[in-house]
Amino acid sequence: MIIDLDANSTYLPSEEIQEVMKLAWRRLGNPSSLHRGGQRARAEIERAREAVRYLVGAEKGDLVVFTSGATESNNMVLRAPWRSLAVSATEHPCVLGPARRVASAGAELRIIPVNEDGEVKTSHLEEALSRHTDFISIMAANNETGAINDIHELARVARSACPGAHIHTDAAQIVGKESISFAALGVDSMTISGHKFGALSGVGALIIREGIQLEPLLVGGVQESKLRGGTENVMGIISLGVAAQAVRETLSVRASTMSELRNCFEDSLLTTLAGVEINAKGAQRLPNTSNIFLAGSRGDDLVIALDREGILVSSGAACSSGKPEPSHVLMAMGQSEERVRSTIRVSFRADQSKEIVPRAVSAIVGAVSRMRSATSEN
Amino acid sequence: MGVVDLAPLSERPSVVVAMSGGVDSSVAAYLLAKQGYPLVGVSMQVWDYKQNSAENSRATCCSPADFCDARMVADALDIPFYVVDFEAMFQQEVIQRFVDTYKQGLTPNPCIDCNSRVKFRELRNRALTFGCGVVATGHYARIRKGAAGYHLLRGVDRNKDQSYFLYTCRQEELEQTLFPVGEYTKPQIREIAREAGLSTAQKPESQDICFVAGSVQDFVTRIGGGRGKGNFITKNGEKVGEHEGVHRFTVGQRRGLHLGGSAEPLYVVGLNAETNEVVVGSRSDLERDGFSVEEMHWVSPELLRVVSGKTFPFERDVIVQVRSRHDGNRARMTAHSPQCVTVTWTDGWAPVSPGQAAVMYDLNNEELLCGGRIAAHRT
Repeated sequence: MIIDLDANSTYLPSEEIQEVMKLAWRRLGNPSSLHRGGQRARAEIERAREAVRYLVGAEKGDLVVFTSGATESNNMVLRAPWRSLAVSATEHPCVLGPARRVASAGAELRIIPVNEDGEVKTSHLEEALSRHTDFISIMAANNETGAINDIHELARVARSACPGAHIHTDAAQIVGKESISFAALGVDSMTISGHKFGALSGVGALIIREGIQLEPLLVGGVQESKLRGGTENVMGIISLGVAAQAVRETLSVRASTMSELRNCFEDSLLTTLAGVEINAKGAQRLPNTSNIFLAGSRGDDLVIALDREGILVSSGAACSSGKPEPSHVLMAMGQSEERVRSTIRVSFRADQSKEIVPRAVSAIVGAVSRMRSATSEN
Repeated sequence: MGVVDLAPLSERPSVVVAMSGGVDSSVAAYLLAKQGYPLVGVSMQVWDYKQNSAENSRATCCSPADFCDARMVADALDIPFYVVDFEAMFQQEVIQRFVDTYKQGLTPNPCIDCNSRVKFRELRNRALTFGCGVVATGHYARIRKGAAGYHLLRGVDRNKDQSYFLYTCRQEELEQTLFPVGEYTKPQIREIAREAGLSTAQKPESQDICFVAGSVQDFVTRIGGGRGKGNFITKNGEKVGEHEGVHRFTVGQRRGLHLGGSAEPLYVVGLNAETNEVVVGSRSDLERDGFSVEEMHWVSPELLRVVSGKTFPFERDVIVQVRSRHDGNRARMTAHSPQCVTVTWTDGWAPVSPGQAAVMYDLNNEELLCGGRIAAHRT
């Protein structure tokens, strides 16, 4: 049996969602078509939009724009005309990349540092802001460590320091794991990603506060309030809606199940194996995420060794070929490259049971012990 | 463990198969999968081609495009496949030694360093951490288990035989290594690949040194092992021309000297790294009665026993191969110590390049007995 401890990479659709998708296939046309097939598709899309709006706590007037995922959503807000950007050091590459591109076209880019637990504190933010800052991006929760930022407080500080600035948050990892309210956060835009909470990959959304004007990334169609041209990804959007509804209804149970699994796993690993440290331990963390330093191991080799035993984890540096770079997230937390390369990420699903924990722990202990003895022999 | 004496299916060990993306390692994986070995395919990321290659990286093996080929084959065989990072190790153990050897006026053999220091040492270590006790590669060579230990034999296809590059293999490595393609000829391997529908069946051969696309000498110059202009001299010390650096030449080389005015063809007969001088002469100037070999590795169980018995000196009549493309000549080998032997030609001779490997086979020219590095000539 495969034990999927890599839910932060992709949260595979539950069987319930798979069943809904099977039924959806045959009756849907192009949502822009006037006939019944088109009407049904349009209705499904709007239903999904309301499910997402409800899940993320957006107001009626806020825009929910469907995109191909978090990368597109972040690219949509992160481009000209911003002249002075402040983004946190541990952002996902799909925020850092567009930010650097804007900077290379002449804008100022300031990186907001994090503390050793990977959190952006208001003091870090205040230092990074200038009176010119017109765009600020801070992630809601980090994909590698699970460290959660207090976006509400950070947005308040940013708003008072730079009243005219656009405040964005990438919430791709937090949705489906902790409750979140777009309206209460006080930000101008927020990114979400479908496959991080059980929808298909290739679909996500950008939530835009009422009254905020953004330019479309893709033009040539009137879809999505003219903000995203092109025929909608109907199946993806339906899956997003179904997943949003499923998650919204069960969120508190999901969160407590995941945190119980994660805490049990960490306690067990820490008592079984020496030379183990949990990263971002001092931060409030996503309930399912554990980022672990295992002294004397190599993270990427551990991923392979555990895969051989049917246990899926991540080394934090997803890379299918070529040379993996050490995690910029852990480096930003002040860790050495050597330590960063000895780290893996474990992320649980809400539908897993506690029985998987002993198997996962013993596999990790076995693989790390083999590596430690191989190193000491040379 | 020879590929022919198969253990029962349930007892077959998990095997890491090194997959370069070429047809040989693809077929190696295919043959082992067909025999029921639990396999893990691994491509070794040894070199940053984007950063280091001025030329089209497709000319080499082990480039990202080759990993893609390997991944497709692994997927077709339904075996797990990983790219594993060996760059730091390769830089230290292969590239640096390669450049340093040229700097010393010797001719390196990076494939041998790669086999002994990377493939059969570090890859084996990694394989163990993945739960795999055995490593398989696409080398054309064979391993046979005998009463006294493991024997390393030339591949069935003498044109493709790669045992020369494997003389550093130790007994415990031979025990835990599989060379499935060594039992076949190259045309047979291509035929197996075609019949199995492997996507790499028609892939052209990779040539020369994997991490160099283009001229080896330009590569050495580019990464800092090059020397400036120097002189061609005769063995009497007379200057006969200028060259672009001693690292561009190998003893025995005839082509690319660009020296005219001599009645008979000129060869490189010596290199002096200190003075950056290339000594040229006629073919007969290359002829020697024999040469010394250092850093010996003992491979055959019989010689391992003699060496461990410390009965030096001892002699053997052998076939000696002194380059990758050399059929071998008969010689008398005298072993003076576990590290050092001298070789005396007994039937014909071949020019030897200090720094290159000399590998000794039995008189059937079949079993690899031992090998080492050709020492600098005494002058």
